[in-house]
Amino acid sequence: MTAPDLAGVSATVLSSAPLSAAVIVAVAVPLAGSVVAVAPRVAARLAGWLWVAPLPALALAIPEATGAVDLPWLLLETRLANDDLARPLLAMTAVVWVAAGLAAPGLVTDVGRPRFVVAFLAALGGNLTVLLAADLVTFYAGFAVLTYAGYALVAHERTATAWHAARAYLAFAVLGEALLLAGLALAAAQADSLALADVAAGLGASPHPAAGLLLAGFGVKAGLLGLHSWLPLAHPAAPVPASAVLSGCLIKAGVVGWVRLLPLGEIAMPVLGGIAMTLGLLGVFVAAVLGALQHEPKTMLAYSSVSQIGLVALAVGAGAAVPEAAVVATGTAALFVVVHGFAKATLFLGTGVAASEGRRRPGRVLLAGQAVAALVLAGAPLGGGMLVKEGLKEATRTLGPPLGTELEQLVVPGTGAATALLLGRVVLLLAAKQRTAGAGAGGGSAAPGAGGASARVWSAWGLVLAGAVAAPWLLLPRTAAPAPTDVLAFGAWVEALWPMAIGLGTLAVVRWPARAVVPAGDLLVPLGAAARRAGAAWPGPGAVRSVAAPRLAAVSRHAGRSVTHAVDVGEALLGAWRRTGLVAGVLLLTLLAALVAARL
Amino acid sequence: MTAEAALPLLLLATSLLPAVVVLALPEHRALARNVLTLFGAISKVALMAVALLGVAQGLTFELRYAVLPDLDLVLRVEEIPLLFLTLSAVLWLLTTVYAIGYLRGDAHQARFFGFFNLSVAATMGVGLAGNLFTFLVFFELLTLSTYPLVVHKGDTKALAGGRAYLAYAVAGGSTLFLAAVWLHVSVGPVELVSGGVLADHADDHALTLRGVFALLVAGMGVKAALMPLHGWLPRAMVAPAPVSALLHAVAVVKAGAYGIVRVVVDLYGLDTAEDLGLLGPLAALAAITLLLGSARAIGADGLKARLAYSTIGQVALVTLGVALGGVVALVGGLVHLVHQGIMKVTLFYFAGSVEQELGVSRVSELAGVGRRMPVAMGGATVAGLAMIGVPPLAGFVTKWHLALGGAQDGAWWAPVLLGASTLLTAAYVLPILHTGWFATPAQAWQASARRWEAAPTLLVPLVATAALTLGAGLLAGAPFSPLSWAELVAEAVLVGEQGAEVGGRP
Repeated sequence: MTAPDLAGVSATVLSSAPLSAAVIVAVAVPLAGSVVAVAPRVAARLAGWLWVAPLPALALAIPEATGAVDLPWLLLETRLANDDLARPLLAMTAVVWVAAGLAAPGLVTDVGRPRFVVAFLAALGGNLTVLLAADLVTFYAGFAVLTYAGYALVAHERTATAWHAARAYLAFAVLGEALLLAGLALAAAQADSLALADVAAGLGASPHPAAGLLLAGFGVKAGLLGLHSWLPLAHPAAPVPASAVLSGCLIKAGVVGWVRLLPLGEIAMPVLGGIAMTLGLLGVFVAAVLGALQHEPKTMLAYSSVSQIGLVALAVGAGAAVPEAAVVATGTAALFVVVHGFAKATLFLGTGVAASEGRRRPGRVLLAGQAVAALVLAGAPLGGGMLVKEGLKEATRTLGPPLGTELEQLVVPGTGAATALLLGRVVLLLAAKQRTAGAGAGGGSAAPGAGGASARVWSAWGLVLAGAVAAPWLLLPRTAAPAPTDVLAFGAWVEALWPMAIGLGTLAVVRWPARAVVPAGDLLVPLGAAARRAGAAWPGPGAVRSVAAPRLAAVSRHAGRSVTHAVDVGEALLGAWRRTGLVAGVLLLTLLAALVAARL
Repeated sequence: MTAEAALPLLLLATSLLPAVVVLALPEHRALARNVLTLFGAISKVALMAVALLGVAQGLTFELRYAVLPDLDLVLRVEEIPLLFLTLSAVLWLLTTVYAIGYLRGDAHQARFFGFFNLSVAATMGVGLAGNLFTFLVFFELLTLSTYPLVVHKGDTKALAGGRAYLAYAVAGGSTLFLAAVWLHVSVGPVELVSGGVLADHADDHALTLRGVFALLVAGMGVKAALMPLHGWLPRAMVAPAPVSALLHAVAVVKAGAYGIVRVVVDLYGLDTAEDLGLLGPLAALAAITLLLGSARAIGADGLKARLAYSTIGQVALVTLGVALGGVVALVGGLVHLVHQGIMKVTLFYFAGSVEQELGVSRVSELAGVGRRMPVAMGGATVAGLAMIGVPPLAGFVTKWHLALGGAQDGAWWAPVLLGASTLLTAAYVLPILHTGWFATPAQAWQASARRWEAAPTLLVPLVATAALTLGAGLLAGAPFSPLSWAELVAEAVLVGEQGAEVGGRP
């Protein structure tokens, strides 16, 4: 599935009217909803029906719904298109948003306020636009809407933690937007086109710095290691359903950007690919350890997202470094987006279920479901994670020995250990709650519906769990994902299980600290402190001014005095303003009259 | 007298006549004053519609009057002026409505609205100017007619601000005058025509033309607030909000930027300016102004002061557009003439509304305003995000064309510069939005005594310009958007210059 294939869109003939309508409706329904929800009364009504908004997009997941729509009057000639890459992602995205919409009334305080409903629907609209956009400007517009609406979701709780998180989120997001603006403009100039497919092809013509800007710009959104510090702050701060879509869908917009715009398969970019692979692999392990040292489940899950994104970065990096790996790499990335989207949404919504169960025991069903989602991500046999790993192995194999072989046989399977360690701890924490709760000591929560999770919340959780289990198998024949060599073979099972054993073993052996050792946001904390110190030490413009100002002032006073004098005279003349104005006006009118007279 | 000649005259007269009558009317005749001013503003918008349709059909509207032999007063409606004139006419109408609401109960309204109309006339003249001499006349008139508006409050601070404004503006005007005389003496009378007229003189008078250009840019740069000539702008913030809105969006600052555009495009011509090596330094000046102006806006607590510094940076984008030298960048610069106007005027309407309604003039005092005045805050949010360059709003269309145009012409630094400006702009805009929407006020704001959150005369213009900001970006591809018009203009300019083919977008 190389770039030309992905956006085979540009070659597609304009599609039938029903499809055009379906594509437009899918994007327009949530966006229109976000506009009308500005009115408080409307927002309060819509709050219970948020889950309806993603449904039109779900209809686009069927294979027949392939094609493009041109809207030349919109933006800079908008083009929306549904293709082989978009369809599976649309399916996952729509279902996760449906689940979030179902769970919202039960898990979000102030759910009926315009600021939540507007942000939720706008973020959904932006997300779908990112998936369906076929031109650069529409893509960037969807991306921006998603970014800024996401800010409102992160800040929704209006607590000090939420502020802090929202500020970090915004600072990184704006940095990402700025990198993207520069990168996209350079790329469009290079390609001399705004079509996504042409841009990727254009960047493939010769090595170009725009590719680096795009890797970093989308990396901020995806949570690539080094650009990830906002993520462990923002995702836990948001209300649970919002965290689910942030981790499940929002960060995937970055992955979609990589896959759509980087010239994978067009040109060998060893440096760029090397950087992506290094950061990706480091991210898988570093974020897993940082996450395991946390004590708040949602923070752990956020770190897990950073860790998991490392896997995609590895795939994308391999595709960038070696063109032959690109087909497998993009297919794997698509599969990953689907698998991780469902599984991570399950895990986040599960924490919401546990919290609303309040003092009651979360229940074996919840525990089992969370464990299944965790196992899927860790690459357990028959799960989607295993398929992703198979794809990664195939992609890294293309790199050739010795690096490729080591990656394929050791490192890629080994990532399962990191995932098992981190998610194992999340499940263990839940199990601990299962044991201690009921006696009254359990983590009581102020979450709404403290009397127990509503049927809607449970069904939302069940929906994404079902997706996590089933979707990879449903999608497999339709994506160009690597055909798993033989997922039922004994060897494959062993290969899937040994890393998990290592991860879980480490979990059992190490005595984990009761409190978080590394603060959430890791790099951001020392950086922020350093910035504050630097700010305190910096004399500031005031000091500079106090030295330079007297001299400058003397000079300018001297020079200025004569000007001032002249101005004073003028001012005195202008003193009788109305009179002066009248005179000037009459003069002008006379002039005009003269003009007319001269003409007649 | 033909209809083609009457149109420029009528455009001037629709504000000049009300100006004179309003100044002559006694203070208490508020109704007559308002009706007259609004009538002038509305008929001007109608005339602009006629002009737009006419020019689209290829008509030329020109009025010429020989003041001296060799020295004509020329008023002409052309492509680039149309952008500026349409913007002025529309925003002036809205600001008139706003000013009527803002100044209700204020003293000296006759003086205010008289000069208000007079400065519209001056702006129209600046816009219509068909040669440097005409431009100069109205440019000076603009200074003199806006000065009483700046010092409207009449206190010491206002007078000091006004003095700074006058000193800078008069110095700038004198520089411009020198430049015009020098040019006239060297190459004879020249007009402002699409594509430029100085190409033939480039070889003989290269040095003169460079010197004249420097003086012209310096003279207009004072009004356009190019650094380091921007000192008056923050001090002139003592003016009432509607005046600041106009100064920043349409009249003074914009007139300076508009002047630079016309000098580069219609006097020198892009190619000639490029050949003379003038565009590189101009681009550098614009880039520095863009960064420093935005940087100064960060952390300024006074809402209007922050907006003032922001204007310095935003208007530099117009200059940058012409200085980059390519067609796509030119489109970006031209369209920003309009976009900056509607975005900044919205923010000033917001500043004025919260000041009138809640007495808030500082960013730090905005906490809770989002809940008390959601419509005004919503408008400010649209305009603020647009200034950052967030798609699909107006400012993005500008930045995209500037970045893309720069990159196409090999100015790799342009996209990076615009990325940096996005960061800086976000750093001074987002705190306003965050405080307004999310911060909790020390004490709850008193509920509005009216049906609406503020007087409709304050809200309606704000909503209108915010809607324009959204529409100009979202519907940029539609036939009558500012972008489509700017593309037509750029095409016409290029045809005038070399007959080259134009693709506004790749």
